[in-house]
This record gives sequence, C-alpha cells and structure tokens, in this order.
Amino acid sequence: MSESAPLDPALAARRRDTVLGAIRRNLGRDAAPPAPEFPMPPAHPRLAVPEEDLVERWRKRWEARGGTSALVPTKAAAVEHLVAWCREHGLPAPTHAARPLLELPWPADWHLDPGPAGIDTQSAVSLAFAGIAEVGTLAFLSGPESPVTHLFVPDNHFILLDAATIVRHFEDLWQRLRHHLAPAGGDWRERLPRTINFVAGPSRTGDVEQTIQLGAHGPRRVHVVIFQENR
Amino acid sequence: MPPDRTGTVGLFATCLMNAMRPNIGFAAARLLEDAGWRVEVPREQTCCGQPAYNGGDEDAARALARRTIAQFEAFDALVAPSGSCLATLKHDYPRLLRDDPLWAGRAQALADKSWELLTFLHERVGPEHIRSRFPHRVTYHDSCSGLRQLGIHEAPRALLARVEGLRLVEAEEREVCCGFGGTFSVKYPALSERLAENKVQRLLATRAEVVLGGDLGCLLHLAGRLSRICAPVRVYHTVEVLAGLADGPGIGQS
Amino acid sequence: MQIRTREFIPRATFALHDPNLQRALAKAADGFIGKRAKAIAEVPEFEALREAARVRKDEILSELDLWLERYEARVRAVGGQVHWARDAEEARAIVLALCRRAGAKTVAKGKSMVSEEIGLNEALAADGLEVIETDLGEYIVQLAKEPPSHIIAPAVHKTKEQVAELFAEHHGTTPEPTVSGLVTEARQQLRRAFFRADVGITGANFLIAETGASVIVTNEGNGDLTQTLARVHIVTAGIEKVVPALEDATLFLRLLARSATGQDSETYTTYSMGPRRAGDPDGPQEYHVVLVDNGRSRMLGGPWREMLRCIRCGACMNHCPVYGAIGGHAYGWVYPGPMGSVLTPLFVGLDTAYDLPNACTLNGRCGEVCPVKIPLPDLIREVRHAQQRDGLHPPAEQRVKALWRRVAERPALYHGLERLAVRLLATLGHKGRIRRLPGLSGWTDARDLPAPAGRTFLELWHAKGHDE
Repeated sequence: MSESAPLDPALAARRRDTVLGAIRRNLGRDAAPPAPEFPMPPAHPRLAVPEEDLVERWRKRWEARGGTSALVPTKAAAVEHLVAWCREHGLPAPTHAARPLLELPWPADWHLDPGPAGIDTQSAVSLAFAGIAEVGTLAFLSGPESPVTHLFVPDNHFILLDAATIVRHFEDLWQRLRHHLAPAGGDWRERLPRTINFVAGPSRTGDVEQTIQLGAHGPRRVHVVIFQENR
Repeated sequence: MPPDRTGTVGLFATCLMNAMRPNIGFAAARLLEDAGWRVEVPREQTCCGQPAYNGGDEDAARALARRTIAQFEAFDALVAPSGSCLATLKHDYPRLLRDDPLWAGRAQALADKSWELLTFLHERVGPEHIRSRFPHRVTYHDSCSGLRQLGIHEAPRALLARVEGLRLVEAEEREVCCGFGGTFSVKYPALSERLAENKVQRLLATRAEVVLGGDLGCLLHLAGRLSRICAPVRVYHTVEVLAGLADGPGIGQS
Repeated sequence: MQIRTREFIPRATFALHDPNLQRALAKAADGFIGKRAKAIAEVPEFEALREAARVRKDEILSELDLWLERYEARVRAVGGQVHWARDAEEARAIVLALCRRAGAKTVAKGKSMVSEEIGLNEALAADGLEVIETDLGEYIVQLAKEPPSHIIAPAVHKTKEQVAELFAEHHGTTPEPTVSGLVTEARQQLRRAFFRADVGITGANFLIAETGASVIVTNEGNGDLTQTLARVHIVTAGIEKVVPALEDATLFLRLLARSATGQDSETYTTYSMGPRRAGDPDGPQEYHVVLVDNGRSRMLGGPWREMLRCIRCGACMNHCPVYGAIGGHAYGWVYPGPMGSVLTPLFVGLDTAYDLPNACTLNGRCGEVCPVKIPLPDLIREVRHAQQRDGLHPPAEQRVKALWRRVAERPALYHGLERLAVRLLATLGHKGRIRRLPGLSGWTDARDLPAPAGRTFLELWHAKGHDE
C-alpha cells in the first residue's frame, strides 16, 4: 500500500460501501431505505430530582465529588468573593479569564488574558453555560468567549455560574441548547460549537491502587461561585 | 391458590442426588407426602441434559429434554431438589425446542409446572408443614442458578426460620459463585479451587457448624473442600434439615 | 496487540500465585463492587434505565447503516472527516497516513479500547512516531511494556511500589512511592507530552448522529488535553458506537459511570464536533473519525448481535469471580472477563481463544450487572456451541460427551452403570470421602470427593415398594 493510498478518495468510498454493505447484508436489509426526517428519540427514563431548590441539589452533588462552591448575590459580589478566596487559601491570582468576564471589577493587579491557556498557566476563571442539578455538573460551550484550555490546563479553576441557568435534567439542557443556538428558528446544528464540555469537579484518578487522587492532569481545585442576580 | 391444593408430583431425581445423596430424595418425598401430595419417581428418567447444554452439545441436550418432557408431562407438577437442573428445565428447554413444532408447546407446558423443591415447599406446600428441630448455628449458600435464574432467596430462609433451634448466620459475599460450575471444576481445577477456597473462608468466618444449600453440585464441591482442609463443618441439603433427616453424617462424612 | 489467548491456562495459573496481583485484585474488586452497589442504590430508576437502554440499543443496531450515514453527514457538516476501515490493518493504515500527512513526530493518546484492538501503538511506533499514552493507568502499562489488564483500570494489577520503580527507571527521578507523589510525578511528565504532541488520538464512548459528535468520558482530563492541544484530533471508534440523539447519549451515560466506577458522573464528559471554528482560541485544526468494522458487521447477523450493545463499562469483569482470581492479562487479548469471553473468540478465532468461554462457571453475575442487559452467560454458552460445531473441544472430552449421551438416552443402561459406579465409589471411600481418584485428579487434587453410600436413590425408592 502506498503512503497516501489509505486516504485516496476512491478507495475510501469503496471501503465505506463495503462496510455499509456488510451491515445491510447482516441485518437482512437490501439497500439503504430513504432517509426520513430525523426522528426525535423516545423519552427515556429520567432520575427523580425531587428537590425544589435546584441550587441546593446542584451544590450537594458537586461538593460530593470534591469541588467547592459559594453562593453570592451578584456577579460583582462573585468577584469580591474570588479575591478573598484566593487570598485566604494562598492561591495565585488567575491569569486567564473568559472574555465576557473581563468587564467585571477585578482588582487592578489581576491581568486577565482571554486567550488560550499555556503550559505554565496556574489559574483561570470561566463562565459556565449551565449547571445540571441531576448530578451537579457544569456545561460549557467552546468558542472565542470560552477557551477549552481554561477548563483543563490550570491547577486552579474558578467558575462563575448563574443560578438561573441551573436546569433539572440533561434533557432540559439539550432543549435549552437547541433554542440557544437557533433562537429565531433555523437549524441549530449549523451553529454547534466545537465542543460541549461537562465538568463535574476536580480532575481525579484512581489508577494507582484504586486510590482516588485529585489533580491527575486537569485542575486540582475547582471552585464555583454561583451568583443569583438573574434568579 | 386453587382449593384442591394437592395432586401428584413427579420427583425429578437429579443425577447427583440419585448417585451421591439419596437422602435428599427421601427428605423431599417425606415433606411432600406429609402435606398430602402423592409422589412418583419415574423409573425411566435420566439426566436433564444440562452438562451437554453447557458443554456446547445442543443436539444431545435436545434429545434428553424430549425424554424428560415425555417422562414428566403427565404429573400435576415436576419438583427437583436442585435450582440448577430446574433452571435447565424451566428456561432452557423452551429455548432449545422453540423451533420444534411438535415439542415447543410441550416444553413450555412442562416448564410452567416445574418447581425447584424449596420454592415449591414455600409457595405451594406452605411452611406450616415444617416441624423439625435442628439446634445448630448454620449458614446458607445461595447457588447461582437458583439465585439468578429462579430468584430463589427468600424461600429457603423462610423455611429454615420454621426449624426449631436453628440459628441462621449469613455469610459475606453470598452472591459470589463457589467455583463448582459443573465440568468447570475438573476442566479448570486451579481456578475452581481458588473460588472454592474464597467461598469456604467466607463460610467459615460465620463460625457456623453447618453449611446448607439447595444444589448438590455446589454442596459436594464445598464439602469436598471443607473436608480437604479438615474444617469441622457439616454440609447438608436444606431439605434434609427441613424433613428432620439431617441426623446422619453430613455430605462427605461418615 | 499480540494474541496470547492460547496461553490462558499457564498464565491464569501464574496469576493465581502472584502475590502482588492477588493483593491488587482483591482491593480493586472490593472497591468496584461496593461503589457500584452504592451508586445504584441511590437510583431507583436503574432497572428502568437498563431496560430502556437495551431496547434503544437494539433499535439502533437494527438500523445501524442508517444512523452511521446520518452521523457521517453531520461530521462532514461540522468540518470533520470520516474514514471507514474494514479491518484492523486498514484502520492502522488510515491513522498512520493521517499522522504522516500532518508531519507528526509525537502522538498523544487518550484511552481507547479500539486502538488496542487494532494494535495502533505498535504500528505508529514502528513508523518512528513517539506515542504517549496519557491515561495514567495506560501510561503505567505502556512504561511496563504490558497490555492493559482491565478496560477501565488498565494498571489495576500494579502496586504503588511497582509504579514508583517504573517511574524511576523511565523518568530518571525518584518519586515518593505514595499515590499522591506518583500522580504528581506523572502529571509533570505528561503535561509536557500534551503540549508537545502533534496529533491527539482518542476513542469514543458514543457517536451522536444528530450532531456529528464523538463523546468521551474521563476522570483525569487526559482525553481533553489530548484532543485540545494537538493540531490534529483523530477519533477511533467501533461502528456500534453510534446513537441517534443527544438524549440517547444521556440515557447511556446515566448507566455508564454508575456501572463502571460507581460515580453518578465521571468528572469530564466531552462532546466533540469537528475542528476549531473561525475565531476559536484553541482546539485542533483537523478532526477525523476512523470508523472501525473489524468483524462487527458480521456480529450483527448471528446470535452475537446483543454483544454489540456493550458500552465497555467493565462491570461484568468487576463482578466475575474468575476475573477476580486471575486478572485481565491471563485472557491474553484486549477484552478480558465475561465480555472478552464472548468478544475475543469472535475477533481472534474460536480455536485460538478456546479457553476463554470455557473457563467460566456460568454463575450469571455478569449478566445481572450488565447495564445494557447483555445475556452474557447465554452468549458464553453460545460460543461453546459454536466451538462444538467446529469440533474444537478436546477429543477426549468429545468422546466422553458422545458416550455419555448414548448412555443417558438408554435408562436401563444409564441406571445400571450408575449403580455400578456408586458401588465402586463406595468401596473407595474412607470416612465418607475419597482422597484421590485417578481419572478425576482435577477434582481430587484440591478437594475430597464425598463418597456415596452404595445405593442409588432410584433403586432404594423402588425397592421400598414405591412402585406405581
């Protein structure tokens, strides 16, 4: 096989036809049926989330996995809280932040870069797209306003979460996502970000003797500040 | 429950019981007859075919399934003192014969009236017929086929609760296999030994004097291992205790 | 990956006598089983979820071609490329060609069972590429030049002292032999690899037709660093991984983490859809998916289709007493434990992997814990049937089975022989047991054989005048 042969379009098409043909043959289907409209999936069982207060549920679940959280009234209060938190815990000031957060009243000596995190980045601040109360996790949509490297590279990760964006189930998030991407109708799939990231706490591993250790590759400490001004 | 609660039971004499521990069959018959059931033991019965089925020989399993069905379909119920053999009759026969127009219905009909002994005693005969005394500390080994394929868990415990003086001490990891596995025990002896040893240590940790169970395969295996390591523990089939016939030597003892 | 399934018995025996392995396995089993049980006890809907997952996955598999085509179209629409590989060799060639085209020197890898299945690391390394496994467990076994021994805990068989030795040897450092010291050491080493890598290769837990997404779940974040920092992201995935919609992925994810590690959610769940968009500050410039058939389409046709429901959680092996006694390496190929006892013979050959489905007690615990209700004991028995059809059981065993069948169909002969055997065994018994029985030494090497009393139940019963 020559070097480029595996990527040769004609060969690739033949391989595709062979695999699909083998699938159809083994399923006892003659040829591809006409593709109908994309059918909506059936409603699958959900987990009971009996709590009225989704913020409380979210925090309980989140903290069970080693993340920390705080509840403050406003975004501005979130900034104050973070400054105090870093000082109190002896943590380095963040060097990176999501672009929409740059306008907040950060201390003058915090220089926040909205660009991607680098190998030496110690600390970053992000804004979550949503929280999911079911398991206490956070959703992020990648884009110019939300670098993915901020979620995984730093040792310390701070996240601002709008209490009003906490949904009960993942299904609620998917609905919200579809609407968010195409608020005026149209095909939401045309506007998909590169990634949807769910972060459920600090990075962890149990690979050495099944003993849980935080900070495997990603952040060791993840602190969420929930602000309630839109609630 | 129909008012005419009793009838004729065909007692399925499992290969191991027939050869190694006839007392189990007599104990079963005593309890059934005491409760007013007529017990018959067809002379022409042989093996249910499970060893063939598990060993990969479906043809042989089918042939033996047809024989067993013919032997037992006339009875009001088939009762077997083994969850493992019974699971074969109840679950595997209908599957094995589903494409055989002559036998599929008969297989299902027999499956529908086939019972594992302890379940039958618990659900059809009723625990009030248990009137035995066994003043010992015992632990119970749940055999996997009975536990998982037939859901036998409650019945032996409810029945044993009727036995005077008996104290049941549950072992850890009750849902773990003892390592018998039929031919597995001779085909992969080192693995089987390790699983047996793990199980035996759990049983011994209860400090029970007696190990009970509902499947002779597992019981022979456990008794054999207990005997080899000289553990002073007796092993009986549960029905021997229920029928008051556990006064003789335990399995593998004299 | 080298196929060593033929060495099952010696390797299993060796494993039974490896004290480090035994210690590690005991600890792992306790952890996995206890954590799963606790997680499931919190979810009364778990059985309903299992049933829904079974039904949904069967629906998807029955129209797999359709969902794959839709998936492919969506990947293209978000700027990614899909490559179809009929077998392992093609899959390797495609990945290699993509790496060469990218001018890659270093490849970072997230955990992927398919990449183990197709022997990807060896192929890339043979071409001069530096390949670095980034899942901590995978990294440890890579340094040890061993295959993973568990599908979600690859280094479950290693003690921390052994890991410390490996790190000392390969990093030239002397890390503290504590869990925290070792994890910190690995973090520092692997961080450089993430930033150095030209290509990042991950697997996929699911592929979503609706959005063209590949989904990975990790606890470490290694899969995300792998795919975010490299210029090229290549996903290798089996064709059975596709699900229609985001809601379907949610269904399976509700089962996956709870079944695998007993968590309600893994730390990171990432849906990746194509390469970096215009204006994106980070992410790969190319996004490729290699869809691997490698025998899967054939499994759709036979009794094995249900095996394709597998979501690779590892619960079956965590609950298997045989796996718990010998660990994953004895199974000799990529997939150990009950799922491997079905899959491996189908992938590498019914004869080559003869022992795997046979070294099983059919106790059924695997099927009971499977989150997608794969009837593993039935499928294991089905593999034995296939081996019987191909005449693969040992000749002596086949002769015994054939003879036994002929006898069992003749009651007079059967009972006559049984009476004879019982009398013979009774004479061999001493104090109710037989210590050694030639011909059955497999049993009597480690157990006594309880001796029968000398009469069969049938003869005693009918002698007592029970004749009808």
